[in-house]
Amino acid sequence: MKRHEDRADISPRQWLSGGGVMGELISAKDWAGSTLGVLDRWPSSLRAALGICLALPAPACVVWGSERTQIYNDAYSQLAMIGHSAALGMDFVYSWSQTWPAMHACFERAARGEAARLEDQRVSFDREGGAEEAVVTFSFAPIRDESGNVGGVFVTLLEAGSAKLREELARAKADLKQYGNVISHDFRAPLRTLEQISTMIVSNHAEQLPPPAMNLLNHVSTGASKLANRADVLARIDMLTHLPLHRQRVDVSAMTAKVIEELRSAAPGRNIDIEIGELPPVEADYELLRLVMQSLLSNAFKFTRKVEQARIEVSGRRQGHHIVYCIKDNGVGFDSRYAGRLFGFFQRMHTEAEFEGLGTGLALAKRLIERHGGTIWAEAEKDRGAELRFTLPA
Amino acid sequence: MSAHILIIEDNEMSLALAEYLLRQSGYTTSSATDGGSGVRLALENKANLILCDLDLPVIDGPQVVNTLRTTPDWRRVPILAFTAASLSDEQRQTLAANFDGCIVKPINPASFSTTVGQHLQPHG
Repeated sequence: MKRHEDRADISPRQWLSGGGVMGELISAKDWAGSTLGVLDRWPSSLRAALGICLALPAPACVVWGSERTQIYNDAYSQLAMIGHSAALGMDFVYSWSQTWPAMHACFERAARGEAARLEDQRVSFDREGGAEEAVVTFSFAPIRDESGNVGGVFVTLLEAGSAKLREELARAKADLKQYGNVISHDFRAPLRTLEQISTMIVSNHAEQLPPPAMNLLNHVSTGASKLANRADVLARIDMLTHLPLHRQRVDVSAMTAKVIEELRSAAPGRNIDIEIGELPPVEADYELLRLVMQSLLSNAFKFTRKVEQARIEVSGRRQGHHIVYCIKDNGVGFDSRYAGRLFGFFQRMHTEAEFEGLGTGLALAKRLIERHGGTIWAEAEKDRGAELRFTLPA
Repeated sequence: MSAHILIIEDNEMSLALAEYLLRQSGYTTSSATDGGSGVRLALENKANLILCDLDLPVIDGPQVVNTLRTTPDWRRVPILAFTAASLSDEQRQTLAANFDGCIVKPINPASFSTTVGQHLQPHG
């Protein structure tokens, strides 16, 4: 793929007509400083491909040249919700950094002249209301330039499900979101009031109440308090999983050391043998990744409490296009038959009397890791420790 | 002598309510919050009826029933499932195969003790 600014055939911009908002934006953009050079001198192969791309009523994009300059149509910009002009002329990879590890091979195949297809990729778009997930199939076709070499790649996107189905799904999601809001916001205040009133009766009128009534009232008070705590946690999780991601290069080693230091000072009596291996840096939202680390490590601290010599190992390594991080402990572990429940909300593997906590740490960690385009899973055996692993795109 | 009822239930709130209502109706009660201690308690003190939750720590409800049914003392004592209304088909089958009846939570305080009493065998 090479530059084509030497071609001098000035031609009318008919190929841009009917190209919607993007057609106009392409026409208006100053391309002189880009590798593509002045618009009117673009090679006819590129113009022909763009003509089809802009006329296509489906999300499509032309990726041209060695710098993978992306030019796309209206449908593409609507699907990916990239600002109409923001990603225009930028490196295609930049727009798909989360999917690129999986997409890379297909794209390269097309760049070598062979069409390729990448099915059912779960992608998350950062939209105004927070992250939104979609399942997208990408198709890649080589575009030959005047010399017969591959000048660029034509990319089309197909979102899973029919428009009607997606609309229904969107409605169902909006409903769920509303239920979630009602539970986490509208229930909190009345529950707290209920807790306060019952606590007040218990403490101010204890001698007037017969013991069985006191006992029941105590349950009202602790029950309301428990529910209000859960609603608090749900509200916090809702907030955290809908925050926009601020990706930056994160020094995972330093972050982990800091989290461990905090946990150690919160548990001064504990003597835990902690081994931190090599932890490759990664592109992630610092605060959210810190929450994940904190949740996994505080679990490791908690569940090694009854072990004579507690041991925690933190390690990481690059594996293909991902980095895998691992937090291993020699604590109580859990029955692997229940591993499926581990990442659900308010799921506990042990009784409250054995180990405190609401059972939301891993549920939150899972959602945050998935928002980063990673996965998380656990391996454990009862009484033989647990191993939590998660990946993040490298 | 009034009938004695053992309640095995890990939700302390519904346990407290059930015990309160049964005692109001003149029964004596004892309770356990996991399957293991429920079985231990049942073997130590004979009860006239057991109310047992399905999903319990240590050993679950059906296992509690199976364990107790192997001892002669417990072969014919009514054991009722004490369970939430939303059950899977699988759970319904387990329930029908193992228990003598079912009390659905949330309970109706007005009829709870009477319903439990109907399952009691006439005893001396």
